[in-house]
Amino acid sequence: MADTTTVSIDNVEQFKQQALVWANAFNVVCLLDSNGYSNDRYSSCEWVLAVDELSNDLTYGQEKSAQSFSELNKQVIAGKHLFGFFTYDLKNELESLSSNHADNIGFPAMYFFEPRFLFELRGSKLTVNRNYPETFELIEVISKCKPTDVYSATARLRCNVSKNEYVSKVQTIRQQIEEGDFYELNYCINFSAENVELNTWQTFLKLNECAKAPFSCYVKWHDRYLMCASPERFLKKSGRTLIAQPIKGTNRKAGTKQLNELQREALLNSNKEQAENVMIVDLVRNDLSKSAISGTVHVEELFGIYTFETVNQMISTVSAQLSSDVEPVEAIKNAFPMGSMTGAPKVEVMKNIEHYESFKRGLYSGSVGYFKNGDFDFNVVIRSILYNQTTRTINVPVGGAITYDSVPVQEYEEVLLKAQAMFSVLGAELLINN
Amino acid sequence: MIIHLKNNISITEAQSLAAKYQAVLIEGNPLVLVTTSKLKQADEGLQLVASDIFVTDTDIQLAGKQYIATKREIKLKDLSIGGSSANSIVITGPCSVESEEQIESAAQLCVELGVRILRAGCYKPRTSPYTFQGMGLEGLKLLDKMRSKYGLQIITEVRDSTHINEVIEYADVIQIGAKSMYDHGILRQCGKTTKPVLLKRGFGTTLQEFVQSAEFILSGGNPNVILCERGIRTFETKTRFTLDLCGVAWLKQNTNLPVILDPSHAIGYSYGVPDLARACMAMGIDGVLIESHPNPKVAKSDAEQQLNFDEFRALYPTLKSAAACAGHQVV
Repeated sequence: MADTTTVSIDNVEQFKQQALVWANAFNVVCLLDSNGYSNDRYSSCEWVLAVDELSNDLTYGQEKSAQSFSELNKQVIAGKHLFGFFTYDLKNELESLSSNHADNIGFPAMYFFEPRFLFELRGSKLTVNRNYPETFELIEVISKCKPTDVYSATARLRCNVSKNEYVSKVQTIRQQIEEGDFYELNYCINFSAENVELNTWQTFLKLNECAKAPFSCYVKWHDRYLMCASPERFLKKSGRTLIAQPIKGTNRKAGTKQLNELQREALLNSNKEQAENVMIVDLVRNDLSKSAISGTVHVEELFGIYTFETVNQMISTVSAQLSSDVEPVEAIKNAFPMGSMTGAPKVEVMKNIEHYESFKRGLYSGSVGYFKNGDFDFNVVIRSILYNQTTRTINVPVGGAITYDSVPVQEYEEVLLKAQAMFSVLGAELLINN
Repeated sequence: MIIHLKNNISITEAQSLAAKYQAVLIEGNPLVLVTTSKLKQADEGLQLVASDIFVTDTDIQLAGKQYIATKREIKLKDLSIGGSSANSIVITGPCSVESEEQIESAAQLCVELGVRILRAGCYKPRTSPYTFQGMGLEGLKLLDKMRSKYGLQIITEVRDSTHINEVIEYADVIQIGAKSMYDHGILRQCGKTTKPVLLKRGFGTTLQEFVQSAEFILSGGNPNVILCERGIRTFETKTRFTLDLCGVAWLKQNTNLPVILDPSHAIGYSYGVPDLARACMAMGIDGVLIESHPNPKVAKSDAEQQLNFDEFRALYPTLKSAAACAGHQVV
């Protein structure tokens, strides 16, 4: 399978859609779409579609993940091109933690596969891991796939906590912060609906269209699906360099450029958002220092303000040089789960998160990405819709960092703002209990 | 004799002409009368109302080359077979719908390879009443789901007239099985729709009888009939049936209907299906129907003749080459 072929595609947008429709017929699919943010200096790929597993020996449930990490590491060192994910609940293996919440989606704790079919787009150039006749044939097959308009989802999403409950929990979290138990805690809630027939690829295309986020991805693992419009990178390794880009701080994008300038300024100058962000930057520096040559952990950009389709975000960039005795997978383990989804100090807040939250995060706040030639790039799974086709359950989890400065009602509004894109894609009717 | 009526003849007039000449009236455009083939000469009354007259040797009339010299074109949504095209279609799927998981994996195989038509039975005409009889309406709904989910066309079999309307509603192509070839209730009902009908040859019928069954559907007003040869009973017992390729050559020469072959049922054993399928394709026919199953060993019907997916994956590209040597292309 050393063959690869590069061809030109006439209608790139149409090809992307048709390829996803085609891919969706396989049991395992991983699509990474950077939505044109590939000019960013740390970007890795524009659009990569990995389909069907060559062998399925890298699926792991909860029990086996110690071995699975070492097996994964072997494959990564061998330079294999692997796609997959780590779920948040891997934390239970990495630290002495546990979770007793019900999991209504059910992704395995981690999963990686070497794809049977691999498509990479750069501009209109498509590279396929096949020889020329086979590539030609595949493109022919894909061009026959018709995106049929079948289901239009209207989900009635219900939140697992009422607004009052949310407010009182945030107050208690603040209390604990005041008492010095921790500095910051990322508290997530889950909107879910049952008995929904969802056309997953169509939903993803709509979500991607309205968010155009740089770390978007679509994952199918048998009957479980992730439709993700993440703006956030977790960790990237390129040569010996590690890069983490945590996001903390969100506000709404204004309608015009001038008005949005004011919004951007407000975000940049907000003490609260800066405090949230810097706490996580500190935590990430600590996480990276476990894998880095000492003295190489460096904050390249602090409080960068980036504007996306519907929101402005505050993003910081931390880099480090990987120490020669640390394996690539080890560097991920040292930083996982990402601080922006836990809070600080990490292990302590994770215990508290289990107490405050009442659903299993699973793949949400986990990470999707790839390994190639020993390098890797992984996102943070947020701004996502998760779906189990068998139980016909949709999850839309969202969260926010709670700090001493948090105003509970405002936090609740921020959470709803983050969920807006997902709700509108689902045509969701939101049922909020006060 | 086939008489195309002039366009100033009303339906009422046509009906009385049909009664007078003991003819079948097809209410299309033009209005068509079909009398027995024994009538060789049109009288003055007929000549006055006719725009065209076709005399045929036998009661293979609407299906015959003497009526339409070229092969009929049959549209299967965006695909077409017959006509001036040299298209061959490949149809695959399990013998029966057994579960959502099973039929979904079959649908996924189709999408992977670019096969556009999924075939599976929901009402099975089994040789024994004590074996699996099919999932019925529930199976049709699963096929419908695969159609909308994967954009595939569905072909499924009608067993008897109790569920014929359901099958006509759900299928893109209606299959009339070999055992139902003589069921006039089914044939007449299929004549009333315009959905394509795949008519299988009964294993003990002559070519003349086979094509005359097609005449029932055509004369009912449905021009979209595809013939399917699937093996006839001979003195040979080592294979389940004998695939009548001579008969196929005869059908190509003498009828205007597209012909599809079913090597799976003919031989009855999966080992011979790939060779036979390539032989079929090399005849320049309009398609093949090959049974495949994710795990043939546990199939609830016709377990011995179904290919597993890897066998089908290996076979599929060779079908393209076989079709190409007869100037056909797989669509």
